[in-house]
Amino acid sequence: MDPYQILGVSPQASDDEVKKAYRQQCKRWHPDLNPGDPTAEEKFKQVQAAYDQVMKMRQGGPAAGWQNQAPGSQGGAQNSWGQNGYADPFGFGGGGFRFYGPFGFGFDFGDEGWQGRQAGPAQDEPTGLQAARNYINARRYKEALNALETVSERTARWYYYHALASLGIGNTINAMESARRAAEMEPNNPEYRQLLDQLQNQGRQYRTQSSQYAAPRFGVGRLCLTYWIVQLLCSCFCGYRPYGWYFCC
Amino acid sequence: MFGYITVNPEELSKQQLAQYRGYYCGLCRALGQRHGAEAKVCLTYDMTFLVVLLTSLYEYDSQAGRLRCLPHPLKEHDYLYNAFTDYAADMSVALSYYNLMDNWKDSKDLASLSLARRLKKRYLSVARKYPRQCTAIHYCLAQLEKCEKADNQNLDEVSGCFGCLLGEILDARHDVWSRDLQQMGFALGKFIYLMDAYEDLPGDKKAGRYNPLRALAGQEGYEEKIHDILELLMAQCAAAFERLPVLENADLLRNILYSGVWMHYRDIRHKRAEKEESEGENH
Repeated sequence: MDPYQILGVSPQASDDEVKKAYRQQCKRWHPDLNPGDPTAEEKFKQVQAAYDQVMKMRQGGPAAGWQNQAPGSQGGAQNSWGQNGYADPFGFGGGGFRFYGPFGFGFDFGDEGWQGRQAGPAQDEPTGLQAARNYINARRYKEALNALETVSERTARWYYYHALASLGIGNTINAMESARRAAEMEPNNPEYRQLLDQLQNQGRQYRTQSSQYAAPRFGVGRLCLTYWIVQLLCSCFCGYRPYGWYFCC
Repeated sequence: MFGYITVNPEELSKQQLAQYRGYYCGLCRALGQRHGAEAKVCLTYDMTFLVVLLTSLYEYDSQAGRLRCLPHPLKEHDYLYNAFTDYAADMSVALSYYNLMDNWKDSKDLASLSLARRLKKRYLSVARKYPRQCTAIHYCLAQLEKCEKADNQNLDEVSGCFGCLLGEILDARHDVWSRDLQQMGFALGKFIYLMDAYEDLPGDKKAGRYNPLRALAGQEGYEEKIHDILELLMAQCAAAFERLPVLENADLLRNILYSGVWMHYRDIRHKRAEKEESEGENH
């Protein structure tokens, strides 16, 4: 079903209108406000999924939610939406701790639309690269990076896979560097070009919005002078500088 | 390493600025009430951002009030308070405790140790209440220490430790917004860590201390590269923010994410340019 229809807005609606509509629909179908009504819960989940899909589409993800079709790709987020999910004012704390590796995180960066790319097969790949590609497609990015480490020859394809795997574990800085290398080594490869474009696009959007703010004058960032005095006193009398800590306002 | 996530006050209306100050005062008050007057040194702009973000995302009503405080004994000012203010106050104490212990370990700073000792009891009560967040802080900072000892120059890996920590803190409720809040915090934490490294680089070089930017600083076009990296991280953070259905205080939050976070960076650049100029004149 069309996610816009579920939210009750037109596809031309602004982001804020989508958000407003989403909030209204949530209030309408929230299970806590409709106790014992199974259709409300179903509706509520649909609204949630529709909002998720619209936001991803608007951020330049691949067309209409492959995430929704992939089994279990939204599992984590959906499951935790329960009785404690929305309206419980003291629903803090609890919950398990989800780290699973020195730099592995408890959530999948590949879930983000523009990042969850599938690496297409290439001819004559060495085994290490093949393994990396399979791991990337299976979203096992950490293993993909390990497999890449075993390949000594750093071709454009190597950098491409390295960029994809790095994105998967959230290493954006490395990903950008590798995507740039791949595109530099083979400027005519549309796949490499496209990845770099997608990566740079987020930065471009940010810069456009950022440039709408006037550049602050030097030193106006301090809300209050007392901070300086306290810092001065601290460093004079107890040798302790509270760095960026402010004591006032 | 705190205090980078602030507003650009010139681009805020009077009302918005008053709102922001209200949350800031509310956080200061909550620190005092929950953890004693000493704990007010844990107050940061970063955690004020956390209050505004979570209050707006979950659309919590804030209680407003007026108070006088020690640094401003004459002027009464408004404060805003809700359950997230308490959460941010608790997180401030946990972060400050580790930061103080870190200062003590690194530079044998006795003042830090004594304050950390006084905060320890408060920290332990926070850790009991928020085991997930406090385990994350502990684990991530231990990882960070390992990276620093190994002189790791992979910016993603080093800053990722701090990003991970902040992600877990932003994800206060562990619910349907977990993923976006975690991603926001992850990028923002990396930004904070690298901004701190950028600021400290000259000092660290002189003192022979570890700095993750040392390798990059030797490369051509360092200033541009580090700017692009910081911008990339903020772009990632802002993209995650834009996915959240935040309507209240959205302008205030965007002011912080798109402009305020660069205030400190501009100050650093400005100071360095001035210094270079005066050195140039002396020669």
